[in-house]
Amino acid sequence: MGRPASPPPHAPLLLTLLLAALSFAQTLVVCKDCRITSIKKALELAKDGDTILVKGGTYREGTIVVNKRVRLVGEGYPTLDGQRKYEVLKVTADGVTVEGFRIVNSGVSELEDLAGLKVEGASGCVIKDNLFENNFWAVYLSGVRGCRVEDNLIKGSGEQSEAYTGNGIHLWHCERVLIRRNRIEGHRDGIYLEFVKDSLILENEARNNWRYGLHFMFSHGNTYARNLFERNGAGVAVMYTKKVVMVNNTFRDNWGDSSYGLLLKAITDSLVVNNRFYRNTVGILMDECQRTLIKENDFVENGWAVKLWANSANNTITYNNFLANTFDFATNSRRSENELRRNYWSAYRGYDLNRDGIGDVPYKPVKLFAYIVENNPAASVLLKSPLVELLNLAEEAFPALTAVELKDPEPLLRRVEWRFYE
Amino acid sequence: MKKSLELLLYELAHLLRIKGLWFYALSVAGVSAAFFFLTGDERKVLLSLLSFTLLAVPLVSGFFSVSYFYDTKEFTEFLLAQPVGRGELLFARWAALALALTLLYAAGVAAGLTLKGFSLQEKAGFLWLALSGTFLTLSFCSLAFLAGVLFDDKAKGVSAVLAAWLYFTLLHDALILTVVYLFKDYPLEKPVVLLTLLSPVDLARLLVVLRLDVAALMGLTGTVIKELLGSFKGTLLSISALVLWSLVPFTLSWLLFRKKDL
Repeated sequence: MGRPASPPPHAPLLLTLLLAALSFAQTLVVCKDCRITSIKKALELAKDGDTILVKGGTYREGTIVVNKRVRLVGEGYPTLDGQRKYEVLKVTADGVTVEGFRIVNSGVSELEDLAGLKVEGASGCVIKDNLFENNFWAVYLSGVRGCRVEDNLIKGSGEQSEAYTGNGIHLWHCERVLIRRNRIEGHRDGIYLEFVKDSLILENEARNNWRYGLHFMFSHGNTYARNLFERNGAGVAVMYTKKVVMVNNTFRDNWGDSSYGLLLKAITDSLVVNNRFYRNTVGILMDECQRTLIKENDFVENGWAVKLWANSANNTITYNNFLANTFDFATNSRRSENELRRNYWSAYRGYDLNRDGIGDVPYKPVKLFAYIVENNPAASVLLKSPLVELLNLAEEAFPALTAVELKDPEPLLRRVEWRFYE
Repeated sequence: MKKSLELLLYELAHLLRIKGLWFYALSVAGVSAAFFFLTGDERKVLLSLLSFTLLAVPLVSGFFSVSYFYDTKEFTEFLLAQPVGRGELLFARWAALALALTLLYAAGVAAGLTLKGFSLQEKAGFLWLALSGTFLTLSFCSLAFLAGVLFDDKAKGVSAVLAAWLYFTLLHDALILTVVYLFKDYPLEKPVVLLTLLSPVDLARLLVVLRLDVAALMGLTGTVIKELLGSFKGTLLSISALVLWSLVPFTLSWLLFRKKDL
């Protein structure tokens, strides 16, 4: 039992100061028939803390530099047009909000990364509810701390090659950024992060990007949850990173000669939990991965569910569902220092005499042909050959034929039930 | 020429009265219908039908053709006592047999597909499958005639055809695998493509596989192979190779048969 809390003695003073500050903050309206007709003019007149309200219409003002702490709000999605020449918006001040704009046609440059909206060295920005169309880079954050990028719709230029388009959301040397509910199409990489720390990437949809839906390097301690990566040229690639958390994402229809649902290259101490992998050429490719837990994921109708290369060790793959994949597993070495235990394999043909839900015979997920192809790529010319079908049959009949020791000693007989949060 | 056509039509009419051949058509139809009932996914049906075609079509075409060749040997000799050229006769018989077998195979697949009401998504894929089935039929008819002309003993001839079937469906691929294994330190895409040209079954398989999305499973090597065999030029190359496989063995048998002491 304590005394009832009393307000601190200087509270009234603070409140007065706050009210005073609010009363000085003003709203400047920009439209074609208003007193202020250009956003640049409004920015000249504005003080820190002001709101600039831009009404519908098209504004061609070259590069608009936002160097004051203002809220830039569009009404009826006014269009900011870079005329294929300029960077459209460049934010250099802290605490800037950009909301409700349609930002189009940024310049294209081989030397500079021209973007629809670039934030440089600022903190606390909010980029919300904008449409980005036909930009070279769309949202470009460099040296930014504590920003939010939310609910933006980003469409690339539709140029026929990855060389002529930049990334949808591009982060370079950032910290504590929230990227949420954005939809990105037609860029080179949907979301690209390099040297980004402690950030959240949630509920984004990256489709039909030329290269990767998501691509990051050297970005430690980030969490990726409830994102959808669909039909991207090469799927998702994540590299050289520690402590990644990937939960409840969907990797779907990333199909092609060198396409992956998820490529884990030099990833350590990470979690890949509760994700769905549908119809990818390769569900997960693990190259130089260490101490990563892959648990409660669904692998459905992939070419290969998992490719695990010999340079990966101490990874745990457990309680996953492997359903109707052409090959469940491939590896290029006979031995493997990884733990494979208690997964459900739809191709498992064993039995369970003591009825404890665990198969009595180990499951060997690496088919002889998968092993051969992994080591001799030219053998892939025999895909669907009767000889290969015969090899598979022979392998089931004579277990001694299996080339690889890797096995699940306790395969589950029932599908693992886990929850996917839509 | 007119005589050839007359003979061909007569042969064809005779062949289509053989119940065994209709059983072949029925089983093709049954198998394709069964695949459709078991899975709604056309791509899977197509792949399963491809596997079935690669195994069954060469076996049935080869075995039936060579048996037919020996069983009608006396009738052939009787016909040759009439004013009919040897070359004309052999050609008419071969063409009739190949035509009948191709028709029955195509009818079988088509009958299976009608159950789906012809609302196919993978039309192109099924057409490529039909084409590869046709070439397999032609090649193995040709090989059967060559065996028939080469060996007077029926047992030897039939064994030769069965051996050819075994070689092209399994052993040739085993040979490719061995080559791939022995020379794995070298770039092998071109040699491997050359080796596939030496087997009608491999050619027929790749003709279909390279057009389906499973081809992505061939990875980067697959891209090179697709370039070599699946591009316009590559398709021409593999189809010409299949045409050679269909015509060369028969032409050899035709040359031998004209001078053979019957």
